Amino acid sequence: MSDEIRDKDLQDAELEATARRLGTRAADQLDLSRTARGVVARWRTERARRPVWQSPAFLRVAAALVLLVAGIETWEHRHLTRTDVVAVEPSDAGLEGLTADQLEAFLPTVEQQVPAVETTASDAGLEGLTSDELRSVLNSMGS
Amino acid sequence: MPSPQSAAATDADLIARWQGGDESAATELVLRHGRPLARFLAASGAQQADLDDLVQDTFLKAFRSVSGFRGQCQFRTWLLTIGGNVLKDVGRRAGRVKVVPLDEGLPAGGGTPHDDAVAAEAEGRLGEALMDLPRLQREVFLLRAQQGMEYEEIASALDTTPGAARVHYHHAVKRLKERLQ
Repeated sequence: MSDEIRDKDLQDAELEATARRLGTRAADQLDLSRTARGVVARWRTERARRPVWQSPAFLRVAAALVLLVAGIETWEHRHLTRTDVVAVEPSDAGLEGLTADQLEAFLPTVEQQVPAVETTASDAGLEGLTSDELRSVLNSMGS
Repeated sequence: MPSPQSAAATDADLIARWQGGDESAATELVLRHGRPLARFLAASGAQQADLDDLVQDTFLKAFRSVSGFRGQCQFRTWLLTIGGNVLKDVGRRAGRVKVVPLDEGLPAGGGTPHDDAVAAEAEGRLGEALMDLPRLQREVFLLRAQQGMEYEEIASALDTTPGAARVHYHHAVKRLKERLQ
């Protein structure tokens, strides 16, 4: 081992030995029993002052409730959306399999189609007829 | 004086007991780790007059956030890093952290008066030199050289890698030697 390396090791060892002693005498001045009593007393005071809603147990319960409500909302939203789709689909699958609620939902759409059928009936070519021609048509219908 | 049962209790046991409302467990944690914490704080620049308050503040902060302690390192290592943060906050509020006059007003050690004086002078110079190091280097140096911790443990506590901790340590030693020559 060269002198240089030996000197370096010695310096490191001295430095570490000094570091190990560092703060020892200051720390030895502490009355740890008194420090511990101080910690416990301050902790009691802090805990007494803390509102219930800041306690860890309360926060855990509140977080669980929020998650539960959000979960229920999500489930309901998905469930109701799926029901709406089913109510619209059966229009071309026959009416036999529909429930009363589904039929009620379906009826307004049928009623909306009726005027459209009447309108096409008026397109049968009557508006191009003269009054005499119309009269003869009415007479033939009445006979 | 701790009972035989509590003397055998691990830190994890004491933390669990304390969380269950057993205040004697908190007392025992302070008795067990208070002095190494005080040494660390004193070496990091805390003044003797503030040491008791700083140790109490550190334990209270640790107790408040103990649910976040997942055993990633030893309780003591975690406590020392909290102590470093407490000291930094106090220093920020006060403007700066004053260097502790380690050899002033303190009783001598067990050697001859001359040995004590030499040791105190060396400690005082090292304490001053440590204050010139970046905080991370200072903490790595103290955790390693003063508290005797492994690099893996230091890395876990300071959220870095063992390799990086080793580099910080060697930089710290190099700079301290330059300052002390």
